[in-house]
Amino acid sequence: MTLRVAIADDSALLRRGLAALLSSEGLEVVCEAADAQELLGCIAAQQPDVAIVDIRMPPTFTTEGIQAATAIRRDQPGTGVLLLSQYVETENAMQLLGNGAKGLGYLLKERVSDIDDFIDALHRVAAGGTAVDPELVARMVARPHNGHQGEDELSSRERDVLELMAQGRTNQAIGKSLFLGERTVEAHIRSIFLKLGLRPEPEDHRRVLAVLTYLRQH
Amino acid sequence: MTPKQLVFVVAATVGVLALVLISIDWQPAALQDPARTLGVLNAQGVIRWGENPGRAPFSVFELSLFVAVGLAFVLAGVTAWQTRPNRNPGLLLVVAGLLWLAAGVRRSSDPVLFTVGVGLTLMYQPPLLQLALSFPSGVLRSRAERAAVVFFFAAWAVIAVASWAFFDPRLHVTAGASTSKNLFLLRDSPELTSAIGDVARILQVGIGLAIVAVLVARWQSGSAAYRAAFLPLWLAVIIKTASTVWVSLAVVQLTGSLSNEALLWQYPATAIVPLAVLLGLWRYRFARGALSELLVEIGAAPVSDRLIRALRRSVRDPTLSLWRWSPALAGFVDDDGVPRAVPEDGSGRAAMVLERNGTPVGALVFDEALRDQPQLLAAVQSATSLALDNQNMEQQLRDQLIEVRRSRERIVTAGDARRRELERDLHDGAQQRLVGVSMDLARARRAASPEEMKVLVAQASDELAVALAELRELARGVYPPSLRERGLGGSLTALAERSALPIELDVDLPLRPPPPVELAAYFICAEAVTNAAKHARASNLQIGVKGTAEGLSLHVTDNGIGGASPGADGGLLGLADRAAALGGSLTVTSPAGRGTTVAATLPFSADPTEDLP
Repeated sequence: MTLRVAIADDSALLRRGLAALLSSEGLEVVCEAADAQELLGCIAAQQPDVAIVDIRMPPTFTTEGIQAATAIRRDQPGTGVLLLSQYVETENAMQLLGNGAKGLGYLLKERVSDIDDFIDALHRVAAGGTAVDPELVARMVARPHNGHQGEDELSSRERDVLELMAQGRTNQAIGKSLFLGERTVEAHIRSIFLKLGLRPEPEDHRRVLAVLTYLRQH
Repeated sequence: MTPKQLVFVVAATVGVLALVLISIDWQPAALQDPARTLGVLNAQGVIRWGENPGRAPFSVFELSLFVAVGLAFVLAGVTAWQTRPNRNPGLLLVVAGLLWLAAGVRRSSDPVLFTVGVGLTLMYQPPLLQLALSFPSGVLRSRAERAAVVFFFAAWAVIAVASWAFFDPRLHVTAGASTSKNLFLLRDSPELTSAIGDVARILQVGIGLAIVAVLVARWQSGSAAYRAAFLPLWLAVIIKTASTVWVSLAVVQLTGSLSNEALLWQYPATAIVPLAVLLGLWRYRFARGALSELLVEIGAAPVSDRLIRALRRSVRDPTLSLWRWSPALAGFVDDDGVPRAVPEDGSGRAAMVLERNGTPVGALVFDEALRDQPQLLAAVQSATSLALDNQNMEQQLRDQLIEVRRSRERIVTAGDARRRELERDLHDGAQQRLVGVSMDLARARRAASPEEMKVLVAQASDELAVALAELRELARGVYPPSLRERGLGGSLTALAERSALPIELDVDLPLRPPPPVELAAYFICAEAVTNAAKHARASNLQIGVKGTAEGLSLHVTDNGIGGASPGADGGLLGLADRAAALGGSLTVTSPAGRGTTVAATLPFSADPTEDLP
């Protein structure tokens, strides 16, 4: 199945570069928008599987992308949104994902040059999963946290699993990435949830939110 | 009062006193002679007094009282003369005192001295009447007043002569005898003497009442300042009048020792007059004392109601007010902001304009009577000027502080704006291009053919070159590298080379300026060049930099359309702040159609205490 993609970025250079990259990878770029309004019109018309949206767009060049993502997820539940930015900030991530991480992603712009990973994230988001930038997750995990919470008790392997889980990876992807069997991954995840005092979440995008919320609050 | 005048007054007083003391006849008969009684003027009085067998002879005690009164007049006169700028009140007191003392020769047995003494007995009064009429300045205001005073002197003299022209005391003393020879005598006629006495009394009482009426009218219409100044004299006039009436009645009606005592009371009653003047002087001194307290008190205080109240208290004029100068109206305004004209002479009000460097800053408006006390007014003026100075200085300081705060805020704001701009430039420029480069390279890695890979790598390389150029420009905007390496001259040469406009450069810097001055000079030139290229439609630019040991001056002149102002574009205003922060200045001259010149002077070492008030 060919993934149908919409692109929104005020930089024509990046729009063109991204479209060329995706096309050469066999994806179908259905529209290239310079701002949020153009993007919303295109999505309503084309109903793409996923939209790649620059967070900073006209008119104020701040967080227009987040508002556009929220609108898309509300009005076009079939379209996932992958937000790209030169910086990843926790506040922006929580504003984007706070009301449900289903079908949403938030990555640094430079992730596009790791083409396989990027395409994988696109597919994940298009399928209703989540993609959170590894740098953001690593920062949240490594950040000094208050008190002696469960996080301190995590083994280094559990930490690795936690990071990948927070990025929105599936158990299968985590296992592949860490060279672990799927059952081992599941065991690690159960242990992590137990140590953090979290209720196990069956769906990937829910557990991303649970983990991110935990990391942010502790 | 000059020392010469003082010597003259002392000499005259001593001379008159010596003459009186020498001339007094201390023979018992002479001491008993009613015609020689001091202070009793007319023939009727002498007759009545001569009928009194219980009258006391002239004594050393009475002489002491008499001399004391005269000296009190002279001393009070000298004091007033010295303290008051207008000598008239003092002079009148001195004249009255000398006339009073001179009348003492009446106790002489010499006919000439006796006659002169008789003539002078009440001649001390006209100067006092003049003083009362002209109070407090001592200056007669109108022709009528001057005529009245001339009339007083003439009337008193005529009355003195006329009263004695038909009276020979040697013929009319019933108890004891008179040996006084009256040289005024034409022929003895008791009827004529009596008639003249009646006319004189009516005349003198009439004049006295008229003067009292005038003074009462002035008292009522006069200001508080006039009242305060006149009050002691007013009381003295009442006491003196009452005592005169009483003495006259006593001499005529009373007998024995009672009449003797009544006669002696005339001396303290008369002495009250100069004492009243001294009291007035004391009040004046008190006012000055209050003023010096005021000078301390207002130290740092602004011109407030408190100051005005203190001034009013000091000069005893509750109507005193301070009008401020309004440069907008080119006139004075009162407390309510109502425009006011300086009062004219004779309006009862007087004004003193307070000036600073020839420009009026305010006007003190007060009762005209205060004009008589220029020393007091000068003190008030300096006190008020001091307060106004304080206020102006405070205002100046406040203005400067506000400007410094504003410029500090502008500098910070400009710095913030520059940072935002830099982030934006990096985000939209180099960062985007580098992402593009990384995408191209990622695609090149998976290119299906070597040709496609070559194209992608070439594309990435081009993007990279552009990104580098952008980064270089950005870095130059943050700090021109040639400035550190080659100094102001080198960096301006580099600026001229990169400029789209031809620039004539003339840099003369014998010494290398301190880094902040170099940077400011560079940015001023760069901003001016940018503006000229962007807005001025200029075709030619000149940059001149001239350095000395103390600082540098620079100018950037274009031949464009002019009409630029430092406020219109934030850049120049920020640079003006930067120049001001270094203790320098920046001016923009930009007449429409005649090009723009940005000129700046920058000292090498800024003195932060310079230009402070």
